[in-house]
Amino acid sequence: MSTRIAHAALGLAALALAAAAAAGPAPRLAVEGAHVRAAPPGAPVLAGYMTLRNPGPRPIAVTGASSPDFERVEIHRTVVRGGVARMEPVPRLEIAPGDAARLEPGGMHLMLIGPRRKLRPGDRVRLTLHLGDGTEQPVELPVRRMGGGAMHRHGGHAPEAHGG
Amino acid sequence: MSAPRPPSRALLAAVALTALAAGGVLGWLVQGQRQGPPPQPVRVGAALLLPERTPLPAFRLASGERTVDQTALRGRWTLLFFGYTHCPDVCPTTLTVVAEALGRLPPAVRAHVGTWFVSVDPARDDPARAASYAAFFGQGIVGLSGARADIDRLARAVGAYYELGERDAGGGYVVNHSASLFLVDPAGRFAGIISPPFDAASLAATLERLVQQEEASP
Repeated sequence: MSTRIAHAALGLAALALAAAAAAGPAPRLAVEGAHVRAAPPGAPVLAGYMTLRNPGPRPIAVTGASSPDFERVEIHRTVVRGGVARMEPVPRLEIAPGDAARLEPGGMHLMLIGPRRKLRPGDRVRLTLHLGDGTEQPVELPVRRMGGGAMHRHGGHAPEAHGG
Repeated sequence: MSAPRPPSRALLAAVALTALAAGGVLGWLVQGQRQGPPPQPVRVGAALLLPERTPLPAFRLASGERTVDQTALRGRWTLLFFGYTHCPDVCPTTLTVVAEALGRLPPAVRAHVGTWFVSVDPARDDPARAASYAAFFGQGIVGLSGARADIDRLARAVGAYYELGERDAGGGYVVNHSASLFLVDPAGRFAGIISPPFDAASLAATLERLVQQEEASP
């Protein structure tokens, strides 16, 4: 009974998704947990983190980002090799249908260069993701002071990237 | 602000440390102890302790207005981390985890652990900037800077590596640097390393064991 209802619901959802995909030319990423890590006063570079899910039927690429709150935004990946942390630019972040890209401490991150205003916990940063098809997706990132816990250990999209 | 230098390849002692970690073979060869098994690094929690602890060379660094030298490291365990304040991800992440680990320590243990954040980018980080940056992450995290020669002497002594990247269009540059925490024992000797990724709970447990061991065997 309930299984049948669930199946029907799934079918409807799939139809809705397909319809959305057919109707709206702009791909949309589901953004989760977006935030900017609060940094020491006067810090010239900050980091933004989020999980980007692609619920659609086609791959979506993030080719860049910009923000009125920063002079420049770049996507980077921290890679630790031989005990040395290096930052590698990620010029194109491709997310397969149904897949997710995690931007998290010690891994991929938005490098937010040159803050144009003081950012304190609770402030909100407006950011635009530039997608591969030429469209844009706005994202809002609250500034959060982060607890420690664990650095990421397994890069979902980047198995070679370990916490640095 | 001076132009970044080409990669500071003098600090390739990191390679030696890797060899040590791989089995103490290099230390064994260097010391010419060819009889018996080579001394092995000892694992204590997340830390890898060297079979032979080495005294640190003389250096002078400053944190804000305060000048310190190698003797300031005596009397407790110190976590040394080399980084820079333009560092978006690795340095804040590491300092955040370290601060949380320190917060988990019982006060009696906490009193025996210090943390130094040493800038490897003195052209952009003066002692005041290094100090205020580090203090943001936690009370008692001491940020230091100074003359490059002094920074290099300390970095080389523990096998820390860094290199300044190329200038980008905006005039900025990244610094690739060791991601490890370097341990200095209460006698002021380089004692071992803790490698990333770091975890606050295991870092705290490791520091607690180190402090307790040192008390048990003075």
